[in-house]
Amino acid sequence: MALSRPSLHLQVSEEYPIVDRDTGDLLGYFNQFSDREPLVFYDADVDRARRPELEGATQFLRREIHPTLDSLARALKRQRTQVATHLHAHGCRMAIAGTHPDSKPQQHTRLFGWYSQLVGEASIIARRLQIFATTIHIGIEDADLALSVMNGIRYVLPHVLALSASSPFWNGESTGLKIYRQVLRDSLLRTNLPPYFNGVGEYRDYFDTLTQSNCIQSPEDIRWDVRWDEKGRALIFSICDAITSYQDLVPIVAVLQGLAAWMADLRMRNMEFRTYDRLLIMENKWRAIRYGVKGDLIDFGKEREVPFPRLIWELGGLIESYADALGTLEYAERAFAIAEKGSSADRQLAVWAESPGDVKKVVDFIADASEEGLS
Amino acid sequence: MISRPELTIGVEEEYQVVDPATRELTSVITHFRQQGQVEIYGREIASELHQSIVELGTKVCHTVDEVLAELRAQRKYIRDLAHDKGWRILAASTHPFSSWEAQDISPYERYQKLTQEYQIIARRMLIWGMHVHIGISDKDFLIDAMNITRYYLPHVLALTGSSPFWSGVNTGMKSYRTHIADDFPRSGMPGIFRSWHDFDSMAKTLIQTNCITDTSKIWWNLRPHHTFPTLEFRISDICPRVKEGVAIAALFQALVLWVWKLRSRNLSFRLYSNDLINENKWRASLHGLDGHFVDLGTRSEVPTRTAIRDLLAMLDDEVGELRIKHHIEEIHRILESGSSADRQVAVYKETNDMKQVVDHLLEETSADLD
Repeated sequence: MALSRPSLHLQVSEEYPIVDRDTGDLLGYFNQFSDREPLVFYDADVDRARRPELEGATQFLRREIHPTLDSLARALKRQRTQVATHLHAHGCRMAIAGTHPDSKPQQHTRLFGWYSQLVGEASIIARRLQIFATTIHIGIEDADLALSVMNGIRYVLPHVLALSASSPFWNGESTGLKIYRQVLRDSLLRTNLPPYFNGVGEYRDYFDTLTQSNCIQSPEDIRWDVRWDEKGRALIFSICDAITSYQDLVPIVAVLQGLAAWMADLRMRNMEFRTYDRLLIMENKWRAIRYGVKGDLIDFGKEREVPFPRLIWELGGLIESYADALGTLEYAERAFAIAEKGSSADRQLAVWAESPGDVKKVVDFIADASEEGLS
Repeated sequence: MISRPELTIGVEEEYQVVDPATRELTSVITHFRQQGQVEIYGREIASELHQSIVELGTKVCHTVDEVLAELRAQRKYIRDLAHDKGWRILAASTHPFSSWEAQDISPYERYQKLTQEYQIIARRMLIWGMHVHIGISDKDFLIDAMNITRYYLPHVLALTGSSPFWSGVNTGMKSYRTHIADDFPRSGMPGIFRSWHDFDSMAKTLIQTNCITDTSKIWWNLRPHHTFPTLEFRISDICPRVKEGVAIAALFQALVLWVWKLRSRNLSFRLYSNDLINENKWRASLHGLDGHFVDLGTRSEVPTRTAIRDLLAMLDDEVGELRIKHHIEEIHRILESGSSADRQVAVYKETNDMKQVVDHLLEETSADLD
């Protein structure tokens, strides 16, 4: 059967950590994942006291598929504005980042679906999961095409990860990393970069093995940084930290969509991006985690280190025509500016450097940045 | 022609140094090393990342009996040395309650650089392990053995779990060390390599692109050692009881012999991806011996103890040939009575006192050394 061009439609699921406006303390979070409650509080007393006021904001959380980036951008802006306004009215704010600067690993964390099944009685693993993400779905309907794109796009996931970096703190301390969330997440099973799959047969065989041996109940139990959702006919990217600013969010989605369009087009022309061993791609992922946009990543084609801003401009050149055709070039170019001005993590660390030890100032910064660009 | 591997054995053990009054970890490595060339049977006491970790290694042994004698002597030596200074030595892969935030990093350049590079991931690395080296001088066969024996690493992890506690918390796991260790880049299971050349080419790429200076910065659960002609098994939690650690070394020796015998008959073992083998590793770290493993050949679940008994039965000929049956018997005892993690949790449940767990570990570490 002939390959059909992908729709590249878009859907974004966000998590919004909720902080007390006066203390900056993390109370809970909103999320758009179908297997979780939309509003979660960490503490039962806080739940009782705050739920009646804050639950109304869940009506603003929508899981919609958008045919274009413009449509998605408008919806995300509206959603963030409505949630922020509701929180303000009740003495709270959203502070969108991969970790809360003062994440308390000892704080009770409720687990849902896959997580609770996976860690069982291992409460300490559960406690480590006080982390937040932005998940991006891109429609690629054909299984062969989706897997080909998934294989190739693994190479550039560290680049996208670096752009989204927003989790340099944990438990009131600087971790020395730009993305601590990914370290915590990757300690779970069936996370991290996916393996290379040589066609749909091999992919299905992997799932069949896990299903028949009672490791998983459904494909949703796989949480790689990118995976194909057969039911939704889309690639789901879980690589990004929760992206702090709306002004960064839409451009990062534009880059990812442009990359998917490029890789799909290669496949339609009987080509594919050179396949690198996961072990090598992991080196770049580590560098993204450690240094974010401020480090050098490796160009494995040339086997040399390249400063991130230069690499991201080169990448821009590769997807330019695709972004142009999709009408998203203006957005994509803004993503490359993140490499120049620094990611959310860099900006958080700058606040911390000015006021060492003042967690509240960092939380205030994140909350302010979470409202950037909203009406 | 590929000749039979040497199957020599070397074991490195990392020990905790604790204060007998508080039972907390204590920073000591500089005290040991200030004595100058502290030598034991030709091997220096090695420092590790944190000052409360001391590492000692046996000489190259030709038999498992020799390993037992070496480890006994080594443990007695470090125990007595510590006693002289008023400290105690214990073998377990995490300390029940001392926290990583309170520990001092070793002042030596290698560890300062590691901490600078890996930041919180390095500082949290307050874990202890046991590394078993099996001598294989043929490099291509070493890669064969590495590819194949990966499948059985979760079995060994389930047997050796000795890290159920972390910073005073009962984690609900049998080997929490595994989860701390795997936070490092270049950790976890090694991939499949087609040949030594394939491995060497990957290593050269990493060196050329400034990811590593040499292959000692590859911390997989199983790796070709960067200087010795050995396959280094690094999956195990350290066993408090000396004979249990020796039994694990015996198991690795038999496994490598089994692979060689397969190879000499032009046979191999099916190679599964890490994405599948990690299912069993996760189960081993979480449930130890009390869970189920996935038999990837039949795509079915089997009790972990059954999977390990099947492995022992498979190695029966090699165990006989190597004359290590009396050491492998120890593994049957672990299967019957549980791992160190099981015993530690039992002590804690009985006493509700982490200090009692430390005392239990101190006793086991120093038992049966004569």
